[in-house]
Amino acid sequence: MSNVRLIPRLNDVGVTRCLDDLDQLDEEHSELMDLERRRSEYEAWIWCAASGGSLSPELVDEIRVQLIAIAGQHGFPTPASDRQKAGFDVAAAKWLASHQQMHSPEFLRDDTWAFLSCIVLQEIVVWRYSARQHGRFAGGVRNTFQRLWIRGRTLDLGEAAREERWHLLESLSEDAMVQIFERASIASHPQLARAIAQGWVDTAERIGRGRMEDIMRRATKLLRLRNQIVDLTFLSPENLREEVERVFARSSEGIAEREDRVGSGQKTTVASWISRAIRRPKNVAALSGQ
Amino acid sequence: MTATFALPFLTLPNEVVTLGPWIVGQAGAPLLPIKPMLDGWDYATDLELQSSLSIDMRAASEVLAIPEQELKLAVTLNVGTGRGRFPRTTKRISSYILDAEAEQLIEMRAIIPGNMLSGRVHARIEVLLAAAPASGSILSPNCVGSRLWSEEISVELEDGGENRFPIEVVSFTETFPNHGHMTAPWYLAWKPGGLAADFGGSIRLYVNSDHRELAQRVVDGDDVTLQAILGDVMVQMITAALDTNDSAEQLRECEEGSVGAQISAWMELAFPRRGLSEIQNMQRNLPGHFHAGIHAAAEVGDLE
Repeated sequence: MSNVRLIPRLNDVGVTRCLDDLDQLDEEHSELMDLERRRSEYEAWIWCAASGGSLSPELVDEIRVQLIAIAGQHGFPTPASDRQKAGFDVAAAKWLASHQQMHSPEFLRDDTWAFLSCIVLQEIVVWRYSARQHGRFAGGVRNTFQRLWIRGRTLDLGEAAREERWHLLESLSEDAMVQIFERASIASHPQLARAIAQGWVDTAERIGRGRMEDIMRRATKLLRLRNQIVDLTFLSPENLREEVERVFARSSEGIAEREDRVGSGQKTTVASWISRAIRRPKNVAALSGQ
Repeated sequence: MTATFALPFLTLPNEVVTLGPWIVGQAGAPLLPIKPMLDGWDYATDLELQSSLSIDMRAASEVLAIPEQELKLAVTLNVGTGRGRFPRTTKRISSYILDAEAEQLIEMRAIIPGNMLSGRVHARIEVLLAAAPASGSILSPNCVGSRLWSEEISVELEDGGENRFPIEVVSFTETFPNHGHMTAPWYLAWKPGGLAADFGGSIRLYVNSDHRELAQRVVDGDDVTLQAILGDVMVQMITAALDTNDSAEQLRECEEGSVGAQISAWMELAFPRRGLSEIQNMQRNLPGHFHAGIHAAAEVGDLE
């Protein structure tokens, strides 16, 4: 028997209805519906896997209680500063990634996160973003909690890393996270995602975080191209690290090191080795394939 | 070979790599030839996948222009799960090294615990260069990990089918009450701007079942009806992309499976070899040609 804890799911129509209601409440400056009202209002679009695990209302309750508590430590329900929101993101990602029952394929599903965001934790999403940011409620890479769960899961260096366990999660900027986790070809390979995260941390240490945005974009673009012709995940951890290092070095060519680091471990740059990949157009499946 | 772009080195054709049929089923039960959907799966069901692969190493050596004694290949089996063009998470299940001395037929077998799977199972068998050769031609692959041949399969599990064009037939009076489009025959739910987003996860086409005859034609796969609907979808999305600031840059950055990549593919289908600025000119100056060109490209028979 599977030990998967089944979580309710909210289908796309339910998400649409919920977002319509949120827009209307926002226009009218009305209060959000409470949890019970939300559950009953969208009941028709909530469903669960028919079999294969155990329904777990306890886990849903625990997620709500814990995430509201974490949000409370970062200012919820009063309006939060960017710093408080970033603090919430890190603390929530750690909690979500550490929970054993959340190491489950249920949490790879968009509709599971849509249920949690639209129904269970709607007030946290509104606090963290706003009622108008629909992508933060619907499931997907931008969902308020789904993005934190995958970041935490992927960047967790494990208990063996001791105080360094969350080093990558705590170090990366929001822009760097987006570059990694909104690129499916990177995010689906945890070892590649971690290597790129480490490359960002090392480069930011060398030249300063403030100059990393363009460099990260160039580096992820080059690495995605490189990964199309060479399976980077086939490389040994050392070779993958060197490969990523080379790409970050190339992407930051010409940028001076931070003053406090000049002369300390300067890295060499390499010549271009990327060949431009040419993609042929490919069509979507036929409409008739229903 | 499944690559949709040109690799900058010699690769292996299907004549050199022979992949046996995939069979799949519940672990321990008789396995059956693979189909796009597997019925009756849930998290409690472990899956077994089997296939075989053989490589004619002598022919591979000739094709890659690498001396046979220096040629070392790796056959990898990666299994992923989760929705989207790329699986949400991928894991290497096995890896075999082949050289001139090794047995050249590989039996591949993977048992995937049900509690690791979500929505679909995606398997990719790939032949990679396992060691840099000491010699070879200028076009020979020489980096470890170079992708030389690959094949992918995807099987929908549980509520399968989401990887096809996202479409749903619903009553608009029930689903979208009080909306301006309540009486529309169809409605494309998507937000322009997210060109990098996964195509399957970002758009959804709703067909209004209140228009019974239309809904029936869609269900029956009527070519003209589908062409009209898909043509409208393509026009909406292409137009929005063309109207985006720095559209060329944004579209260039979109990866396979994204909204932007799909829009680019549709533009190439409708206006072969035309540049973006040419298409924008046509949109502005010859809107009739622009729309009709897209609707012609929406002929369902032409789509994969």
